Amino acid sequence: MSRFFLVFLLTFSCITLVTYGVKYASTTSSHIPASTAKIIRHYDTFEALLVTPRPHEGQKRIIDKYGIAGIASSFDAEHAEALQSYLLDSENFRFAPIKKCVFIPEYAFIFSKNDHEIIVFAGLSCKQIEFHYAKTNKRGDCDKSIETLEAIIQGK
Amino acid sequence: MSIIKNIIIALLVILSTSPGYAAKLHSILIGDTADTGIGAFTDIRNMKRQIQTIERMTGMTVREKNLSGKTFTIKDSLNALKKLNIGNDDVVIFYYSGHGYRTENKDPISPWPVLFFSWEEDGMSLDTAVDIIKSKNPRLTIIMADCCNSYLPETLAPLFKVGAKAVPDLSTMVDNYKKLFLKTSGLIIVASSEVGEYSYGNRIEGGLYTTAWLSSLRDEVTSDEEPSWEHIFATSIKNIHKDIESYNKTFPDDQITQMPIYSLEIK
Repeated sequence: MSRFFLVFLLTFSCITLVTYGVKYASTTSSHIPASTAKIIRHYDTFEALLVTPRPHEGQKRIIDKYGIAGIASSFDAEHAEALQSYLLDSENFRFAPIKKCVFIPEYAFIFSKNDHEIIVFAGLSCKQIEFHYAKTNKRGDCDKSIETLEAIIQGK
Repeated sequence: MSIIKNIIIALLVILSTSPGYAAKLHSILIGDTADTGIGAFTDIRNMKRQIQTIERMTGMTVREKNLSGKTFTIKDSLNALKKLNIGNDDVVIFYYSGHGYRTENKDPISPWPVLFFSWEEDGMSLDTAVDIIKSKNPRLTIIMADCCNSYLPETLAPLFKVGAKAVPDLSTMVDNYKKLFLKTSGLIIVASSEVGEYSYGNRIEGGLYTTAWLSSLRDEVTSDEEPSWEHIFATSIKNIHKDIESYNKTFPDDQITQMPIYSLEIK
Protein backbone atom coordinates (compact mmCIF):
# COMPACT_ATOMS: atom_id res chain seq x y z
CA MET A 1 0.00 0.00 0.00
CA SER A 2 2.75 2.41 1.03
CA ARG A 3 4.69 1.45 -2.16
CA PHE A 4 1.67 2.32 -4.31
CA PHE A 5 1.35 5.66 -2.51
CA LEU A 6 5.05 6.40 -3.08
CA VAL A 7 4.75 5.70 -6.84
CA PHE A 8 1.61 7.89 -7.01
CA LEU A 9 3.35 10.71 -5.15
CA LEU A 10 6.40 10.53 -7.41
CA THR A 11 4.29 10.53 -10.60
CA PHE A 12 2.14 13.43 -9.37
CA SER A 13 5.25 15.47 -8.44
CA CYS A 14 6.82 14.86 -11.86
CA ILE A 15 3.67 15.92 -13.72
CA THR A 16 3.36 19.05 -11.56
CA LEU A 17 7.01 20.00 -12.07
CA VAL A 18 6.84 19.45 -15.84
CA THR A 19 3.64 21.50 -16.16
CA TYR A 20 5.07 24.30 -14.03
CA GLY A 21 8.31 24.22 -16.02
CA VAL A 22 6.50 24.37 -19.37
CA LYS A 23 4.32 27.27 -18.21
CA TYR A 24 7.21 29.44 -17.10
CA ALA A 25 9.69 28.36 -19.75
CA SER A 26 7.32 29.60 -22.46
CA THR A 27 6.81 32.99 -20.80
CA THR A 28 9.92 35.14 -20.88
CA SER A 29 9.97 38.80 -19.97
CA SER A 30 13.20 39.75 -21.71
CA HIS A 31 11.57 42.88 -23.12
CA ILE A 32 11.62 44.69 -19.77
CA PRO A 33 14.15 44.79 -16.91
CA ALA A 34 13.80 42.07 -14.28
CA SER A 35 12.97 44.67 -11.61
CA THR A 36 10.10 45.99 -13.77
CA ALA A 37 8.77 42.49 -14.42
CA LYS A 38 8.95 41.83 -10.68
CA ILE A 39 6.74 44.82 -9.87
CA ILE A 40 4.17 43.81 -12.51
CA ARG A 41 4.26 40.23 -11.22
CA HIS A 42 4.01 41.07 -7.51
CA TYR A 43 2.20 44.42 -7.43
CA ASP A 44 0.41 45.70 -4.34
CA THR A 45 -2.05 47.93 -6.17
CA PHE A 46 -3.31 48.00 -9.75
CA GLU A 47 -5.24 50.71 -11.57
CA ALA A 48 -6.70 50.66 -15.08
CA LEU A 49 -7.46 54.14 -16.41
CA LEU A 50 -8.99 55.65 -19.51
CA VAL A 51 -6.62 58.16 -21.08
CA THR A 52 -7.16 61.17 -23.28
CA PRO A 53 -4.30 62.45 -25.43
CA ARG A 54 -5.32 66.10 -25.30
CA PRO A 55 -6.18 66.94 -21.69
CA HIS A 56 -8.13 70.08 -20.96
CA GLU A 57 -7.04 72.69 -18.46
CA GLY A 58 -7.22 71.39 -14.91
CA GLN A 59 -7.78 67.78 -15.91
CA LYS A 60 -5.91 65.27 -13.76
CA ARG A 61 -2.89 64.06 -15.69
CA ILE A 62 -0.63 61.09 -15.97
CA ILE A 63 3.07 61.58 -16.76
CA ASP A 64 2.16 65.24 -17.43
CA LYS A 65 1.28 64.57 -21.03
CA TYR A 66 -1.99 62.66 -20.99
CA GLY A 67 -5.25 63.34 -19.20
CA ILE A 68 -7.10 60.83 -17.09
CA ALA A 69 -10.62 60.47 -18.46
CA GLY A 70 -11.86 57.90 -15.94
CA ILE A 71 -11.49 54.41 -14.60
CA ALA A 72 -11.65 51.46 -16.97
CA SER A 73 -14.58 49.70 -15.36
CA SER A 74 -14.13 46.42 -17.21
CA PHE A 75 -11.18 45.44 -15.04
CA ASP A 76 -11.73 42.98 -12.24
CA ALA A 77 -9.10 40.84 -10.51
CA GLU A 78 -9.37 38.15 -13.19
CA HIS A 79 -8.71 40.57 -16.03
CA ALA A 80 -5.91 42.24 -14.11
CA GLU A 81 -4.26 38.84 -13.85
CA ALA A 82 -4.77 38.20 -17.56
CA LEU A 83 -3.23 41.59 -18.35
CA GLN A 84 -0.32 40.84 -16.03
CA SER A 85 0.45 37.58 -17.90
CA TYR A 86 0.03 39.36 -21.24
CA LEU A 87 2.44 42.17 -20.38
CA LEU A 88 5.04 39.78 -19.01
CA ASP A 89 5.21 37.65 -22.15
CA SER A 90 7.82 38.95 -24.62
CA GLU A 91 6.21 36.87 -27.36
CA ASN A 92 3.33 39.35 -27.48
CA PHE A 93 5.49 42.28 -28.64
CA ARG A 94 7.87 43.38 -31.37
CA PHE A 95 10.37 46.17 -30.71
CA ALA A 96 12.42 46.10 -33.95
CA PRO A 97 11.39 46.93 -36.52
CA ILE A 98 8.70 49.11 -35.01
CA LYS A 99 5.81 50.91 -36.74
CA LYS A 100 6.26 54.65 -37.40
CA CYS A 101 2.67 55.56 -36.62
CA VAL A 102 1.32 58.07 -34.12
CA PHE A 103 1.02 56.49 -30.68
CA ILE A 104 -2.16 57.64 -28.98
CA PRO A 105 -2.75 55.91 -25.65
CA GLU A 106 -6.32 55.07 -24.80
CA TYR A 107 -5.61 53.10 -21.60
CA ALA A 108 -3.05 53.34 -18.81
CA PHE A 109 -2.31 50.48 -16.43
CA ILE A 110 -0.48 51.31 -13.22
CA PHE A 111 1.22 48.59 -11.17
CA SER A 112 2.55 49.81 -7.80
CA LYS A 113 4.69 48.19 -5.16
CA ASN A 114 6.06 50.18 -2.22
CA ASP A 115 7.28 53.44 -3.78
CA HIS A 116 7.74 52.00 -7.24
CA GLU A 117 5.30 52.45 -10.08
CA ILE A 118 5.20 50.92 -13.54
CA ILE A 119 2.88 52.56 -16.06
CA VAL A 120 1.90 50.77 -19.23
CA PHE A 121 0.02 52.66 -21.96
CA ALA A 122 -1.99 50.87 -24.62
CA GLY A 123 -2.87 52.52 -27.93
CA LEU A 124 -5.27 50.31 -29.84
CA SER A 125 -5.49 52.49 -32.97
CA CYS A 126 -1.78 51.98 -33.70
CA LYS A 127 -1.64 48.57 -31.96
CA GLN A 128 1.21 49.59 -29.70
CA ILE A 129 2.07 49.41 -26.04
CA GLU A 130 4.47 51.60 -24.07
CA PHE A 131 6.17 50.63 -20.81
CA HIS A 132 7.27 53.45 -18.49
CA TYR A 133 9.77 52.45 -15.82
CA ALA A 134 12.77 53.99 -14.04
CA LYS A 135 12.49 57.33 -15.92
CA THR A 136 12.59 55.59 -19.26
CA ASN A 137 10.04 54.30 -21.71
CA LYS A 138 9.93 51.52 -24.24
CA ARG A 139 7.36 51.23 -27.00
CA GLY A 140 6.54 48.08 -28.90
CA ASP A 141 4.12 46.80 -31.55
CA CYS A 142 1.50 44.30 -30.46
CA ASP A 143 -0.13 43.50 -33.81
CA LYS A 144 0.22 39.76 -33.35
CA SER A 145 -1.44 39.79 -29.94
CA ILE A 146 -3.91 42.67 -30.40
CA GLU A 147 -6.97 40.41 -30.18
CA THR A 148 -5.83 39.10 -26.81
CA LEU A 149 -5.23 42.64 -25.55
CA GLU A 150 -8.61 43.85 -26.82
CA ALA A 151 -10.35 40.90 -25.18
CA ILE A 152 -8.65 41.65 -21.85
CA ILE A 153 -9.51 45.36 -22.07
CA GLN A 154 -13.13 44.68 -23.02
CA GLY A 155 -13.40 42.34 -20.05
CA LYS A 156 -14.16 39.25 -22.12
CA MET B 1 47.65 55.24 -54.02
CA SER B 2 45.36 57.29 -51.81
CA ILE B 3 47.15 60.51 -52.92
CA ILE B 4 46.38 59.69 -56.57
CA LYS B 5 42.79 58.93 -55.59
CA ASN B 6 42.48 62.27 -53.79
CA ILE B 7 43.96 64.13 -56.78
CA ILE B 8 41.45 62.43 -59.09
CA ILE B 9 38.57 63.38 -56.78
CA ALA B 10 39.84 66.99 -56.55
CA LEU B 11 40.12 67.20 -60.34
CA LEU B 12 36.67 65.79 -60.81
CA VAL B 13 35.23 68.26 -58.32
CA ILE B 14 37.05 71.19 -59.99
CA LEU B 15 35.82 70.08 -63.39
CA SER B 16 32.29 69.65 -62.18
CA THR B 17 32.16 73.08 -60.50
CA SER B 18 32.77 74.86 -63.77
CA PRO B 19 30.28 77.67 -64.59
CA GLY B 20 28.17 75.21 -66.56
CA TYR B 21 27.06 73.65 -63.27
CA ALA B 22 26.13 76.52 -60.98
CA ALA B 23 23.15 74.70 -59.59
CA LYS B 24 22.55 74.61 -55.85
CA LEU B 25 21.24 71.70 -53.84
CA HIS B 26 18.84 72.78 -51.10
CA SER B 27 18.27 70.04 -48.58
CA ILE B 28 15.75 70.10 -45.75
CA LEU B 29 16.16 67.09 -43.50
CA ILE B 30 13.55 66.70 -40.77
CA GLY B 31 13.76 63.94 -38.19
CA ASP B 32 11.95 62.96 -35.01
CA THR B 33 15.28 62.10 -33.38
CA ALA B 34 13.81 62.34 -29.87
CA ASP B 35 12.02 59.04 -30.48
CA THR B 36 15.01 56.73 -30.36
CA GLY B 37 13.06 53.57 -31.17
CA ILE B 38 12.26 54.34 -34.82
CA GLY B 39 15.81 55.15 -35.97
CA ALA B 40 15.23 58.72 -37.24
CA PHE B 41 18.63 59.75 -35.88
CA THR B 42 20.29 57.10 -38.05
CA ASP B 43 18.16 58.12 -41.06
CA ILE B 44 19.19 61.78 -40.78
CA ARG B 45 22.86 60.84 -40.36
CA ASN B 46 22.70 58.57 -43.44
CA MET B 47 20.87 61.18 -45.52
CA LYS B 48 23.42 63.86 -44.53
CA ARG B 49 26.22 61.59 -45.70
CA GLN B 50 24.41 60.99 -48.99
CA ILE B 51 23.91 64.76 -49.49
CA GLN B 52 27.65 65.27 -48.92
CA THR B 53 28.37 62.59 -51.52
CA ILE B 54 25.99 64.24 -54.00
CA GLU B 55 27.80 67.55 -53.35
CA ARG B 56 31.21 65.98 -53.99
CA MET B 57 30.08 64.11 -57.07
CA THR B 58 28.09 66.85 -58.79
CA GLY B 59 29.86 69.99 -57.66
CA MET B 60 26.58 71.53 -56.59
CA THR B 61 26.75 73.89 -53.62
CA VAL B 62 24.68 72.51 -50.78
CA ARG B 63 22.37 74.68 -48.69
CA GLU B 64 21.43 72.42 -45.83
CA LYS B 65 18.74 72.84 -43.19
CA ASN B 66 18.42 70.15 -40.56
CA LEU B 67 15.42 70.19 -38.29
CA SER B 68 15.52 67.85 -35.32
CA GLY B 69 15.45 68.14 -31.53
CA LYS B 70 14.02 71.51 -30.53
CA THR B 71 13.69 72.67 -34.14
CA PHE B 72 11.56 69.63 -35.02
CA THR B 73 8.47 71.80 -35.30
CA ILE B 74 5.91 72.71 -37.94
CA LYS B 75 6.83 76.39 -37.60
CA ASP B 76 10.53 75.73 -38.27
CA SER B 77 9.68 73.39 -41.14
CA LEU B 78 7.35 75.92 -42.77
CA ASN B 79 9.94 78.68 -42.26
CA ALA B 80 12.63 76.55 -43.88
CA LEU B 81 10.34 75.84 -46.82
CA LYS B 82 9.20 79.44 -47.23
CA LYS B 83 12.75 80.80 -47.00
CA LEU B 84 14.00 78.59 -49.81
CA ASN B 85 15.57 80.91 -52.35
CA ILE B 86 15.60 78.76 -55.44
CA GLY B 87 17.25 79.37 -58.78
CA ASN B 88 15.73 77.80 -61.87
CA ASP B 89 18.57 75.24 -62.14
CA ASP B 90 18.46 74.27 -58.45
CA VAL B 91 17.61 70.96 -56.85
CA VAL B 92 15.54 70.53 -53.66
CA ILE B 93 15.57 67.48 -51.44
CA PHE B 94 12.91 67.50 -48.72
CA TYR B 95 13.20 64.49 -46.42
CA TYR B 96 11.20 63.51 -43.34
CA SER B 97 11.73 60.57 -40.97
CA GLY B 98 9.28 60.24 -38.11
CA HIS B 99 5.71 59.28 -37.35
CA GLY B 100 2.92 59.79 -39.86
CA TYR B 101 -0.79 59.21 -40.31
CA ARG B 102 -3.83 60.13 -42.34
CA THR B 103 -7.53 60.49 -41.57
CA GLU B 104 -10.67 59.61 -43.49
CA ASN B 105 -11.31 63.34 -43.91
CA LYS B 106 -7.94 64.03 -45.48
CA ASP B 107 -8.08 64.81 -49.19
CA PRO B 108 -8.85 61.34 -50.56
CA ILE B 109 -7.20 62.11 -53.87
CA SER B 110 -3.82 62.71 -52.29
CA PRO B 111 -2.01 59.50 -51.35
CA TRP B 112 0.57 61.39 -49.28
CA PRO B 113 0.65 61.16 -45.48
CA VAL B 114 0.45 63.77 -42.73
CA LEU B 115 3.76 64.28 -40.91
CA PHE B 116 3.45 64.18 -37.13
CA PHE B 117 5.48 66.62 -35.03
CA SER B 118 5.62 65.02 -31.61
CA TRP B 119 6.84 68.12 -29.69
CA GLU B 120 3.75 70.00 -30.76
CA GLU B 121 1.51 66.94 -31.12
CA ASP B 122 0.38 68.37 -34.40
CA GLY B 123 0.54 67.43 -38.05
CA MET B 124 1.55 68.94 -41.38
CA SER B 125 0.41 67.37 -44.61
CA LEU B 126 3.18 66.35 -46.99
CA ASP B 127 1.09 68.10 -49.66
CA THR B 128 1.94 71.40 -47.96
CA ALA B 129 5.65 70.82 -48.58
CA VAL B 130 4.88 69.75 -52.16
CA ASP B 131 2.85 72.94 -52.82
CA ILE B 132 5.40 75.33 -51.33
CA ILE B 133 8.36 73.77 -53.15
CA LYS B 134 6.48 73.48 -56.45
CA SER B 135 5.58 77.19 -56.29
CA LYS B 136 9.29 78.01 -56.31
CA ASN B 137 9.95 76.11 -59.54
CA PRO B 138 13.18 74.24 -58.86
CA ARG B 139 14.58 72.20 -61.74
CA LEU B 140 14.39 68.96 -59.76
CA THR B 141 12.54 68.23 -56.54
CA ILE B 142 12.71 65.08 -54.44
CA ILE B 143 10.24 64.90 -51.57
CA MET B 144 10.38 61.86 -49.38
CA ALA B 145 8.50 60.88 -46.21
CA ASP B 146 9.57 57.77 -44.33
CA CYS B 147 6.61 57.42 -41.99
CA CYS B 148 3.32 55.56 -41.59
CA ASN B 149 0.43 56.39 -43.90
CA SER B 150 -2.08 54.51 -41.74
CA TYR B 151 -5.50 55.78 -40.70
CA LEU B 152 -6.15 57.33 -37.33
CA PRO B 153 -9.68 57.77 -36.05
CA GLU B 154 -10.75 61.36 -36.70
CA THR B 155 -11.42 61.96 -33.00
CA LEU B 156 -7.91 60.94 -31.97
CA ALA B 157 -5.92 62.46 -34.81
CA PRO B 158 -3.97 65.65 -34.31
CA LEU B 159 -5.31 68.50 -36.38
CA PHE B 160 -3.10 69.36 -39.29
CA LYS B 161 -2.68 73.05 -39.93
CA VAL B 162 -1.98 73.62 -43.59
CA GLY B 163 -3.99 72.54 -46.27
CA ALA B 164 27.71 48.81 -53.07
CA LYS B 165 30.11 47.82 -54.98
CA ALA B 166 33.48 46.98 -53.31
CA VAL B 167 35.47 49.50 -55.36
CA PRO B 168 33.14 51.88 -57.16
CA ASP B 169 34.56 53.58 -60.21
CA LEU B 170 34.81 57.27 -59.32
CA SER B 171 34.33 58.71 -62.78
CA THR B 172 31.27 56.48 -63.27
CA MET B 173 29.87 57.69 -59.96
CA VAL B 174 30.45 61.34 -60.86
CA ASP B 175 28.78 60.83 -64.26
CA ASN B 176 25.83 59.04 -62.73
CA TYR B 177 25.30 61.56 -59.94
CA LYS B 178 25.41 64.36 -62.54
CA LYS B 179 22.88 62.61 -64.77
CA LEU B 180 20.53 62.12 -61.83
CA PHE B 181 20.90 65.49 -60.13
CA LEU B 182 22.09 67.94 -62.80
CA LYS B 183 20.52 66.62 -65.98
CA THR B 184 17.07 65.82 -64.67
CA SER B 185 14.14 68.17 -64.19
CA GLY B 186 10.85 67.58 -62.48
CA LEU B 187 9.16 66.48 -59.31
CA ILE B 188 9.55 63.27 -57.32
CA ILE B 189 7.34 62.56 -54.31
CA VAL B 190 7.73 59.48 -52.18
CA ALA B 191 5.93 58.05 -49.18
CA SER B 192 7.33 54.98 -47.50
CA SER B 193 3.95 53.24 -47.28
CA GLU B 194 0.73 53.27 -49.25
CA VAL B 195 -2.57 54.68 -48.05
CA GLY B 196 -3.72 52.99 -44.84
CA GLU B 197 -0.46 51.19 -44.28
CA TYR B 198 2.30 51.25 -41.64
CA SER B 199 5.99 52.01 -42.14
CA TYR B 200 8.67 50.41 -40.01
CA GLY B 201 12.00 51.47 -38.60
CA ASN B 202 14.49 50.37 -36.03
CA ARG B 203 16.92 52.03 -33.69
CA ILE B 204 20.11 50.70 -35.30
CA GLU B 205 19.45 50.82 -39.05
CA GLY B 206 16.84 53.56 -39.22
CA GLY B 207 13.72 53.48 -41.39
CA LEU B 208 13.35 50.34 -43.51
CA TYR B 209 12.47 52.47 -46.52
CA THR B 210 15.23 55.06 -46.11
CA THR B 211 17.76 52.23 -45.81
CA ALA B 212 16.35 50.52 -48.92
CA TRP B 213 16.29 53.77 -50.91
CA LEU B 214 19.83 54.81 -49.98
CA SER B 215 21.03 51.35 -50.91
CA SER B 216 19.35 51.49 -54.34
CA LEU B 217 20.72 55.00 -54.97
CA ARG B 218 24.23 53.76 -54.10
CA ASP B 219 23.80 50.78 -56.44
CA GLU B 220 22.56 53.01 -59.24
CA VAL B 221 25.39 55.54 -59.08
CA THR B 222 28.03 52.82 -58.99
CA SER B 223 26.50 50.90 -61.88
CA ASP B 224 27.84 50.93 -65.44
CA GLU B 225 24.26 51.06 -66.72
CA GLU B 226 22.56 54.35 -67.60
CA PRO B 227 21.18 55.65 -64.26
CA SER B 228 17.48 56.26 -63.95
CA TRP B 229 15.23 57.51 -61.19
CA GLU B 230 12.57 54.98 -62.22
CA HIS B 231 15.06 52.19 -61.65
CA ILE B 232 16.15 53.60 -58.27
CA PHE B 233 12.59 53.61 -56.97
CA ALA B 234 11.72 50.22 -58.46
CA THR B 235 14.86 48.75 -56.86
CA SER B 236 14.15 50.44 -53.53
CA ILE B 237 10.81 48.59 -53.46
CA LYS B 238 12.54 45.30 -54.28
CA ASN B 239 15.07 46.01 -51.50
CA ILE B 240 12.46 46.70 -48.87
CA HIS B 241 10.47 43.62 -49.90
CA LYS B 242 13.60 41.52 -49.55
CA ASP B 243 14.11 42.84 -46.00
CA ILE B 244 10.48 42.28 -45.09
CA GLU B 245 10.47 38.77 -46.60
CA SER B 246 13.53 37.91 -44.56
CA TYR B 247 11.86 39.22 -41.38
CA ASN B 248 8.63 37.35 -42.13
CA LYS B 249 10.54 34.13 -42.73
CA THR B 250 12.31 34.51 -39.39
CA PHE B 251 9.09 35.35 -37.54
CA PRO B 252 6.31 33.47 -39.35
CA ASP B 253 3.70 34.30 -36.70
CA ASP B 254 4.35 38.05 -36.99
CA GLN B 255 3.96 39.03 -40.64
CA ILE B 256 4.60 42.64 -41.63
CA THR B 257 3.99 44.45 -44.93
CA GLN B 258 5.07 47.84 -46.29
CA MET B 259 4.58 49.08 -49.84
CA PRO B 260 6.22 52.42 -50.70
CA ILE B 261 4.48 54.69 -53.22
CA TYR B 262 6.02 57.30 -55.47
CA SER B 263 5.18 59.76 -58.19
CA LEU B 264 7.73 60.66 -60.87
CA GLU B 265 7.14 63.63 -63.13
CA ILE B 266 10.58 64.01 -64.61
CA LYS B 267 12.29 64.55 -67.92
